Amino acid sequence: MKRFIIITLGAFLSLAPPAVAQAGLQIDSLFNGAIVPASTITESVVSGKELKSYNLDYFRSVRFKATDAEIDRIISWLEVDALVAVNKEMDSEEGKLVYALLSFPADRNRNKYVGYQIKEVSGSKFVTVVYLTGKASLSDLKVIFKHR
Amino acid sequence: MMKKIIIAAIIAATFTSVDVFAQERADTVKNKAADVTSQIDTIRIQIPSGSSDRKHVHLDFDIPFYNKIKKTGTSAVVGAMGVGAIFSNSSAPLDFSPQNSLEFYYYALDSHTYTHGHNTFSFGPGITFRNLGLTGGNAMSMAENGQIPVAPFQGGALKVSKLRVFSLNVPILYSFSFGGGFGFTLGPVVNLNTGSSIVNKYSLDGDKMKDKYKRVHCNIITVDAMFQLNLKYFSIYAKYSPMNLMDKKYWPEFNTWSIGIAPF
Repeated sequence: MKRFIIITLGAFLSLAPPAVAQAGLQIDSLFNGAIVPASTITESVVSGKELKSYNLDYFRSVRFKATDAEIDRIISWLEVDALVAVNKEMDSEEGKLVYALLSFPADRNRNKYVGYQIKEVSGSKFVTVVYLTGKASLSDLKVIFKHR
Repeated sequence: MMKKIIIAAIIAATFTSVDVFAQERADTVKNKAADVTSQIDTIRIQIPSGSSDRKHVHLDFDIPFYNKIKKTGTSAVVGAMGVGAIFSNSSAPLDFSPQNSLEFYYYALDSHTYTHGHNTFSFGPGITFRNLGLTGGNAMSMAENGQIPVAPFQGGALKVSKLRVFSLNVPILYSFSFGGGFGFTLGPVVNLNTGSSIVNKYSLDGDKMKDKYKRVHCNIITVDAMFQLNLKYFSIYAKYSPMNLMDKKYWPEFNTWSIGIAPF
């Protein structure tokens, strides 16, 4: 009986998940409504066969009018995420991040990208953040989106 | 027994130590991230105001899937028809007159438009009827050996002597639109000349008569070059046939070209 308990305990401990956290992104907080409520956000989510021709399997985009404090918070999340990005294109204006395109390590052949931009319209700042996954390469993304 | 307990404990301890090690790694990464974040804050403070650091081509994340709109555009099946006068460089007595020589064509085109509607590629099946008429009192006929003599008509009062050719076509056309309904179209038209005949209409003693000679030796495949100027409500086309329409073993050599109007 004792033998059985010890071996069983050993087996359970071996199944315990490692304590390394999942590689979730800081920017996930934005998509989860951490800054602005869902009612004030323009959100698009596309998945499935509509994206197949773009070599994508998931597309999510949020756009909203942001205050400077909200923008600073988003930028801080992006800067942390950029540390684990394999490729980053980040541009600033007047010391503030206005554009970012981050590529993250592929997970089961699926690349992950986060895009961020600020546009000023009639004195208000609009933030757009996109999250994409799929086999698409960075070159594919540069054809999918219009250039500014 | 002891051996088994020890082995189980070692296994448990190994995975536990991996967890602990992983936790330590996670803490180290978090600490390093915090260090770098504070360094980023320092760098941010040091960037002077009014400066721009634009190093990359910016994608517009508000306009995704833009390339699909650019690339595929629209496709449609359109009808295209035209009627025109046929000119030729045939010499007497086989001098066809444009007033008596007409063609009519109809193409059912599968059109694909790209790049904001400026470029269109079209292809599809079509048919063409061609009638080439002789002037004066000369008429064509077919001798027993297949040769086509052209001579003054003896059998009555000749009204008209016509060469008729029916073709199945495959036009392969490129069109460019300047906008506002103006543009041009050009490309080859492959003709499969499936039938030809000579028809002589005349009157004899007050009766209307007609002689017909079938299979008068046209070349089976010819290719024409087509150019069309597209105006807002109609088009003007020109077609040149560099190849011999009729078999030169039986016919004199001649080329034709046509000019006409395509209402749509």
